[in-house]
Amino acid sequence: MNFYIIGRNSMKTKKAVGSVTPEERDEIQNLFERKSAITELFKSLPDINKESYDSIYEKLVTDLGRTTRSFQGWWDDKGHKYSWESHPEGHWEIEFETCEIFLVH
Amino acid sequence: MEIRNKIEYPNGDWQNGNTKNVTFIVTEDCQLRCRYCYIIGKNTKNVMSFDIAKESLEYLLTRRDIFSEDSVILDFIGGEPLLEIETIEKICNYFKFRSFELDHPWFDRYRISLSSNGLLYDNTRVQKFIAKNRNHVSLGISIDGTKQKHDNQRIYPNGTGSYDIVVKKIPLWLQQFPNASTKVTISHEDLPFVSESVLHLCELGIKNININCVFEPVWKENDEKIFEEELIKLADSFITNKLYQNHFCSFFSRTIGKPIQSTQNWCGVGRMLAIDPNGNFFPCVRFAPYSLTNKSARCVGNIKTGIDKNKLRPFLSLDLPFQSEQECIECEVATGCSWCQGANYDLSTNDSVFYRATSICKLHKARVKANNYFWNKYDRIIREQRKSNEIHAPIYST
Amino acid sequence: MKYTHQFIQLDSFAPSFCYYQNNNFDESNYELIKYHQLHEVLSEAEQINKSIIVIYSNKDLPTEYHTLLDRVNHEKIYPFKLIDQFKSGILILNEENLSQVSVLQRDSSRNIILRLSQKKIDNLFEIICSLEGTFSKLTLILLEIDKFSQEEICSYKEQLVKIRKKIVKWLSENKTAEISILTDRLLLRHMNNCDAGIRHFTLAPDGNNYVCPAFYFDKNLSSFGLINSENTNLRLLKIDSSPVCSICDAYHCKRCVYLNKKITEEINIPSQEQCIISHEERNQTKELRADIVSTLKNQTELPVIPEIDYLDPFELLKHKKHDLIRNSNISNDITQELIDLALLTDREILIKVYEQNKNILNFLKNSQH
Repeated sequence: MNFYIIGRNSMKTKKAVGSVTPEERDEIQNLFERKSAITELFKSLPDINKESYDSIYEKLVTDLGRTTRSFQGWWDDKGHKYSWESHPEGHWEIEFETCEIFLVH
Repeated sequence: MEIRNKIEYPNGDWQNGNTKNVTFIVTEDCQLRCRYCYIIGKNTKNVMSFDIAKESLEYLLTRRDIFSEDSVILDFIGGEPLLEIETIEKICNYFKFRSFELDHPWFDRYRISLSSNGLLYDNTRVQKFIAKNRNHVSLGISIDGTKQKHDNQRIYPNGTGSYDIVVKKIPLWLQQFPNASTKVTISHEDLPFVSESVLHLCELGIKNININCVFEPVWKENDEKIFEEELIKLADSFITNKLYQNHFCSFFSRTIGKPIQSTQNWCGVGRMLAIDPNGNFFPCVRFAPYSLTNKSARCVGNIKTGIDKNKLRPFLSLDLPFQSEQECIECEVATGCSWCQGANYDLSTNDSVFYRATSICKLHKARVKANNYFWNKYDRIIREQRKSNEIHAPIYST
Repeated sequence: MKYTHQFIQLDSFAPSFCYYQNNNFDESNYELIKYHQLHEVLSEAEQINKSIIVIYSNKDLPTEYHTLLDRVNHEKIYPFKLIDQFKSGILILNEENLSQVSVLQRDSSRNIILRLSQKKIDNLFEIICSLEGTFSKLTLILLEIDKFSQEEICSYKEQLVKIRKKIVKWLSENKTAEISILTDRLLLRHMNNCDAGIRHFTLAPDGNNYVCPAFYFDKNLSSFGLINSENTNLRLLKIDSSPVCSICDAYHCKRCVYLNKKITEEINIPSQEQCIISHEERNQTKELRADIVSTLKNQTELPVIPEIDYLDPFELLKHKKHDLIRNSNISNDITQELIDLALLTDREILIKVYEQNKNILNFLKNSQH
């Protein structure tokens, strides 16, 4: 099951399959923000001088691993908790503003 | 299906407003010489070096006692900021690196914001920057409406308009930022084109249209009548063509046109921080030397000595009653009547920020009338729609 | 504006008696007030019963000036060098004069203005003790207030504690013990600030009227302090124009508008240091009141000074608590003399009430007792 996140109104065709609590939404939103921040720092690394690059590389890789696992874990956990409808070729999305979960396929 | 109209649900504040807005004035140069621009001191001399920006970031990131907000918006402005895209990229790279290194809370709570004239939008370097910062960057392009209206004001130094070039960037821009907003500025000469300009922007696919009338005293007698007529025309089109479903126009708001509800200051002056190419701090870009016509700049510190809390104090003390005349405080339709603190100061008779320029008073009142017309008509239509759709969703209440 | 008194600065060498500095003693720039202007102002003041305060300098005045001044009742403010010339008036003591205070004769009717920088803060208590018996009222002016560090403010607070205890001792011995920073607030029920530009103004040697001498001396800020109809800064002088001061109850604070303009660039906004220092003084006055009531069993009805949890009223603005405070201060206004209300506050409700029925405010005042 693939899952994506949309931050705002999406133009994709989708079907609402459930929702999460605001607290749960905050969890995934924070994870998304961190994952994005780490990813975009990675993209910037080639432009940073080698010394700085070396000083943070290991810490960055560790953080990415940890964050990705938490991110994946959240979807697994909530998917199991709420038993959302799924589709072999589809993915779930969350609308941050409304906490709704959508199945897109 | 819930009727959910964009006009009523524009995007909310990110992070509930507990955000430090830091504006880097990366250049004082611009390819254009927009007639209404308040930046009267454009020049090629003052360009922010990376070293100045780096020292600024060090100050921001290491003084959590002063900058304790949960999140930050790194705002890049000019002149035209895209002229310095390489420096902007370096600044953002350094921010990301250093905030990660310091385990700073802002590392995963930031946004990058740029306001551009759009001329360099499809430049390779700019596109590379957007791609690298896709989840954090927001880039607004100023397109003022129809070619006639846009080229009235947004001109090159030789007087030719910039519409033909800017409009070509819009499809790519909207593809990359589907919910992007544009900032439209209206001056006296633009009034007859307000309605068609907003509709034209909708046709171009722009969904969020923020419009301001300039605060300077450029308005002439009967301007408010023209403005009201144009807004009513626009209101009719917005409703007839159901543009409200997918478009937001800041002219129409439920909250304007009532007596004062809050005494809070209109803008975040003092809470934001603007940094000029020399590393000087200002409570807002409008208090920097290059954007003041009549008054001296109001510097509140610099990268060497830090923020001068006493110079900042007046800005943080500002609220509505202390700068407004009694007539404004008692006005029956006061809400939504905006002001710019920098313009207030620049136009003040007493060199003080405790002064409110009221050049737009009549235009605000005209707007209120048109706004009331819009919402009355809108509510009627929505009621009819709900009846015919047999929807039992509650009617949006004012 | 209803001016009740006027300062006259005779020449450009006149010493500062307040927060501003006068460092211009260059003979080539010396300016003496024109005789005819002095004559005109003194005559007018006599006719309309306006109090006059004249600031003298060390420089000798022409005889005709002395003759003119001697004819008119006026208060004098004079520098240390003239202590033998003037038996009454207000003496200015600067740091450089402290080594000579032993020459000051004991005089429990004298008024002294003591001007000190933060360098002398640790010796403040000692200095005041050395002046015991030489004054009936001592007004302390702290110079360069914006340069006070946190540590210096703490030291100042420690000195205030010592001075407070000394005052209690003096009072118990029936000695005169008025020291502005601690005793002024004891009796105040509303703001009692300098009110420069509101109750008084200064005629300077250049012939212009200024809010106070500071604006004459500081050429960079002169235009902000000119008293004329074009100067719209003057509307910001009143306390109602200050978001910070209008919610403050450090009623004894001088609210120096010159310092405000110099430090914060706004004539109606005080510096953080000014607010904190005033509140440290206010809080010590609260303790003094408690000492007087309990130790001296004094039956005088001293106004209660409430407990507060801030040293800077600006913090209330930040945390949006100011509306409650502002409303409660309206009740303090009702206790003032009626004639002062129009000067002190233009809160619309009080003025409208007064305009409708002058007796209603009296009724409200009387019903408070």
